[in-house]
Amino acid sequence: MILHTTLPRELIFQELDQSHEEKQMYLYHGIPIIAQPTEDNQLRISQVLSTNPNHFLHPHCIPGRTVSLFPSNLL
Amino acid sequence: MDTKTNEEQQPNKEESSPPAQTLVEKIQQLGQTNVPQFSRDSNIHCLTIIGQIEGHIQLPPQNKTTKYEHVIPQLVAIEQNPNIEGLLVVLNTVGGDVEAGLAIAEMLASLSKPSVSIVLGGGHSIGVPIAVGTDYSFIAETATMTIHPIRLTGLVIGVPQTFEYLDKMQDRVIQFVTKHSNISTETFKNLMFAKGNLTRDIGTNVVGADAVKMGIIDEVGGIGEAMKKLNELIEIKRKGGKELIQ
Repeated sequence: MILHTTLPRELIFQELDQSHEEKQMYLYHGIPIIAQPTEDNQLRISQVLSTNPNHFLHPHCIPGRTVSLFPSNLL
Repeated sequence: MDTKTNEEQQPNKEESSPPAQTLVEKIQQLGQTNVPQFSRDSNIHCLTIIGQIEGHIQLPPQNKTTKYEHVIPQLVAIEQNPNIEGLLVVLNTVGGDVEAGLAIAEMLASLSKPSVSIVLGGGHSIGVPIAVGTDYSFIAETATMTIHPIRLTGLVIGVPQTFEYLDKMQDRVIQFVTKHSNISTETFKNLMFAKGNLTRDIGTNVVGADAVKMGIIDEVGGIGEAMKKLNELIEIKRKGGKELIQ
């Protein structure tokens, strides 16, 4: 792998003590999102992956919000 | 499945109780629910290239990344969906994997639908080919692009072949950029190997209007100009046949 970036290598590959929780891709009402499962079986959205600008206007599908896995947690 | 979804729904009850309850009932009765339909599909889709461009190796989680495996299928979907007529690419990237970056750039360049890119903040290193890969490119007045040589990271074998390989990798980037923009190979190489501009490296940091002056980017502008241009290109495509600029 050859990285062509302005960021110094030690910044990219720095070791972090705290463990990051696994973020995964899910579909929320057909909108692809990157989210992190919370303890109560919900998803905290961290990014909306869709290229459809209308998906960013969805009232619940906003980064930072917690949504229920239900009804579509299919990938 | 019904019971499972029911269980999942329960902790959520206080948040949106009445509609959620009917939704559960609907699923229990009909085995399905209505996914909210977005009445009108947007004819322009937007692809954001942010943070590091991630290729073959997953970067540590503190990096914000744009993943190859997310972007490429999206581009395929955009290409084949007849309702999508144009693509806006928004860049704010520090660069990243050469192969992944070039792959995305090639996909954009070969897209049959009109595409416009806009560099906001920064479009550095391997972000440059992505920015120029679209039919027309914009850069915000304050945005910058860093053009610098590819350096070896990781295992370095001190034999001439290593440097030849690196040179070839770099040539791929240079060739792509010069082919898809108005900058000449010579000017681009001059920017790439310029001394005294960057604190930690050789290369040049090109700001907004300078990128246009040097021919890398087509125009200085923001989202308004970019959308206007994209709609123009779509209109040209609709009228049919006419070759796109560049």
